Amino acid sequence: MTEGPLIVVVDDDESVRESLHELLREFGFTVRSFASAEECLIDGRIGEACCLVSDIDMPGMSGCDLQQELRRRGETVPIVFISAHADDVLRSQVLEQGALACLCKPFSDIVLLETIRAALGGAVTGGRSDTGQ
Amino acid sequence: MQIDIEGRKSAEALMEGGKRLLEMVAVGLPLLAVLNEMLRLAEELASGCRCGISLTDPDSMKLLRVGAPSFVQDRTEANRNHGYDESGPCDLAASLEAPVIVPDIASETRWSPAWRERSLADGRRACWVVPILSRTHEVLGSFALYSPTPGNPTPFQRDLMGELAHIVSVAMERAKIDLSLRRSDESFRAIVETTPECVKVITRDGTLLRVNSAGSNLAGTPDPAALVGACFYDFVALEHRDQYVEFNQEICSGKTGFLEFDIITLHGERRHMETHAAPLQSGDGSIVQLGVTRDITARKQAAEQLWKSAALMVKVEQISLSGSFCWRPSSGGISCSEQLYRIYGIEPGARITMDIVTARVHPGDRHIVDNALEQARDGKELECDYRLLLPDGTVKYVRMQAHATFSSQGHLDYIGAVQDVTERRQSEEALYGLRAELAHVSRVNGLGALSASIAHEINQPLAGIMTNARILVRLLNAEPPNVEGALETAQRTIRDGHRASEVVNRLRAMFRKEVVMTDAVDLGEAAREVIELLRSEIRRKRIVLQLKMVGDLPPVTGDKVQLQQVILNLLLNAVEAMQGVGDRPRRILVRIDRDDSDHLCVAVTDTGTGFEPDDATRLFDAFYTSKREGMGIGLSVSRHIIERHGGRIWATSDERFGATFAFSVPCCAGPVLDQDGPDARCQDARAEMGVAMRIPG
Repeated sequence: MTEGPLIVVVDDDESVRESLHELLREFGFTVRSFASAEECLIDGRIGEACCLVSDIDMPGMSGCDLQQELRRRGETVPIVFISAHADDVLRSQVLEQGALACLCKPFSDIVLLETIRAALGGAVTGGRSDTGQ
Repeated sequence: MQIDIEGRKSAEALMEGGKRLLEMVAVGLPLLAVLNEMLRLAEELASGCRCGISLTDPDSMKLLRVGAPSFVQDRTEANRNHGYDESGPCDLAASLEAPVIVPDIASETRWSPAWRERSLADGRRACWVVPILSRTHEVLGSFALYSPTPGNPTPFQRDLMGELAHIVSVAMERAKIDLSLRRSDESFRAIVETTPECVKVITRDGTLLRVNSAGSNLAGTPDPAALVGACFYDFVALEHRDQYVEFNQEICSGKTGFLEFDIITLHGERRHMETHAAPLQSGDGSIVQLGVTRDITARKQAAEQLWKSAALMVKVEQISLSGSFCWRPSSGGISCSEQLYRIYGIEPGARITMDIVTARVHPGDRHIVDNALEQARDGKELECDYRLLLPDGTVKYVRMQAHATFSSQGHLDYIGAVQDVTERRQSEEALYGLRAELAHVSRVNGLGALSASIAHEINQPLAGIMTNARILVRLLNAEPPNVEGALETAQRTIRDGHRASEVVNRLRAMFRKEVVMTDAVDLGEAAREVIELLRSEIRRKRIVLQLKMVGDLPPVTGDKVQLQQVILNLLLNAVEAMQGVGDRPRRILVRIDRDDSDHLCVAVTDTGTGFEPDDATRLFDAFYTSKREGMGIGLSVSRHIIERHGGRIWATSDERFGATFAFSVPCCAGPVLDQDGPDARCQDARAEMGVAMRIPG
C-alpha cells in the first residue's frame, strides 16, 4: 500500500477523531491523529503534513491557539478547522488568520474531501480514493 | 300707797320688759342678747339685787351662768372668775325643780364655808333661786336673785323671778329649735356637699339657685357661690339644650324625670351626664327643679370602649376569617364567636358541642383533631391544620390554635381561634403552580444558555455517525467488500448513536414538567449529569471545573430534575460570574458533602465577581437583580425548590473575589436505591475529578 500524503487530525472528541481518521485513510491519505493540540505539537511531524484538520474547541490549547503557534513556528501547513459550534465570529477569526476553511460539524465527507483537495492543489492525485487500495 | 304705786309701776315695767324680751325671742335674736337684756331688766326692777342665770347651754349642753349684765360665761370660766361652786343654791333648785330661798347666807350651812365667804365678800347676803323648767318640766337651768341685805323676796320679786324664768325657758326652747333646725340644715348641707353627685336647684327659667361643690367642680369652678344666679342652660351642650329646656319645664310642672345630656364645662370640656330630677317648692312658693346629676363620661367611654373592642374583634375576625372560642374540657362547654359559627357552617346561636365540631372535620383529617384533643388532656398548647367537610360538601382548610388557661377555680380552659385558610391554601397552590411554571420557564431559558453546549454535545457524535456512514459505504462498495472494517465502523456508529441519544435523553429528562418529590436522588449522579450537559460551555469559557465528593453518601429525597435545575442554576450563575475575569484562574469547585448527619450539601464556589455581603439575603428574592444579570429568577426559583425539599440555600461572598452558592437538603430516610455500591461511586467521583484535571485553566 503506497503512502498517501500525510494529513494530521486534531480533535479531542473520540467519535469525530476516530471516524475522521478512518475516512481519510479510506480516501488514501496517511493519517496521524491527536486528541489535543499539545500532543500534536509534541509529535513534531506537522511540517511533513500537507493538511491539518483540527477542531477549534478543545480543552487546553484551542484550535486557534494551535494556528497561532504554528504561524509563530513558521509552519505553513494549510489548516481546515472543524467545529461543533456554529460560531460565526470564531469562524471569521480563524479564516482571517489564514485558515483554509472552517466546517461545521456534522459536515459532509464530500465537502471535507473537496476542501482537502483544494489545500493540496494539483499535487494530490496520490490521495485519490482509488489509490488507497 | 307709795309702795303700791311703785309696785304697780314695777309690775308694769316687768310686763313691758317681759314683752320686749319675748319680742326679741320671737324675731330670733341670739339667746345671749336676750339673757343680757333680761339681766339688765331684772337688776333694774329688783331694787339693788343682783341677778344670775345659770342654764344648760343649748349649744354645748353645759351649764352657763349669767352673773351680771353683759357678763355671761360658761360654767368653768364663771367658777374661776366668780367663785360659784358646783354645789350651791342654784344647783339645788335645779335638782329639786323647786325654788330655794336662802334668807341669810351668813347663817347658811348647807354649802361649803368657801361658798359662803365668797358670797359675803361679794356683798351678797341673801339668795333666792327658782328653777327654769321647760313646758315638759325639763330642767333648763335656774334663775337667781342675790340681795345685799338678808331677808326673803317680796311678792313682786317672786313674780319677777317666776316671769323671767318662764321667758328664759321660752327663749331656750326657741334656741333649741333653732339649733336643731340649724343642725339639721347643716347635716343636710353636709350630706349634699359630701355626695359625689352634682346636686342643683334650678328655676323654671334655668337660673341656678343652689349647687353643691360637686356640681361646681364639675362645671369647672371650686366655688359653688360663683354659679348661683347663672343660667344652667348655658352649660348644656347646644344639641341637647332644647331637650333639656323642655325637660326642666316638665319637672317644674310637677313631674319627676330622668335625662341624659352633655354639658360643656367652663374649661370647654364635654362631659356626659345623667340626671334624676324632682320638683321642689322654693322659698317663694314657685316650683323649681331639684336635680341630682351624675358624670357618666367615664362609664360611657368604658362602655363605648367595650363596644368598640367588641366591634373591632368582630371586624378582625371577619377580616382574618377567624373565629374565636372558649372551651372547658372538663365540662365540654364551648362558647364561640359568630364568625366561628360561620366557618363551621353552624346556625348562629345553636348550642355547640364537641360532637358537632368533630362531626364537621374532614374524615381524612379526623386523626389530627383526635390527636389535638388527646393533647388537650395534658393541658398542652394546641395547634393544628385540618380540613372541614361541611354538610353541603364544602371543604375548608382551617388552622386551629388554642392556649390553655386556668380559671380562678382551677378549671382548665382553652381560649383559641380557628382561621379559615382555604383561600390562602388555594392561592398558595396557585402560587406554587405559578412557581412551577416559572421554574419551567427558567429551565427553558436555561436551555438557551445551554443550547451552544447542547449543539456541541449532539454534533460531535452526529459528525462521527455521518463520517462512519460514508466510510461504511466505501468499505462495502470495495471489491471485495471490506466486511471486517465495515463491522468495526458500524460498531463505532452504534456507539456514537448511543452517545447522541443519551444527550437527548438527558435533555428530555431535564426539561420535563412533572414534579416527583419522592425519588431517592443520588446528588453526585445528578450533579455529574448537569456538569456533563454544561461541559462544553464550561470548556469553551476556559473554566476549570472540579467536582469533589466524598464516597458513601446517602441519597436525598426529592425530585431529581428539580434538584438538577438548582445545580444547573448555580453552575450557570458561577459561569456568568466569571464573565470578564482575566486576571486570575477561572475555577468552579463543586463540592458534595454531608452538611450534618442527615443533610447533604452541594456548594458551588467560583472565582468570579462576588457580591456585596449586604445582598446575600436578597439574592434569592425573585426579580432581585445584581451584577449577575439574568439570574434573579433562577436563584429565586432555586430557593423555592430547595425549601420545598425541606432544605435551605445560601450564598457567601469571598473576601477577595468569587462567591459560594450552596444548598443543603435532607437525606433519604429509606434504603439506598442506588444499584452501585459505595466503591463504585467513589470511583466515579475520582473519574470526574480526573475530568476536571484534564481541563487546564
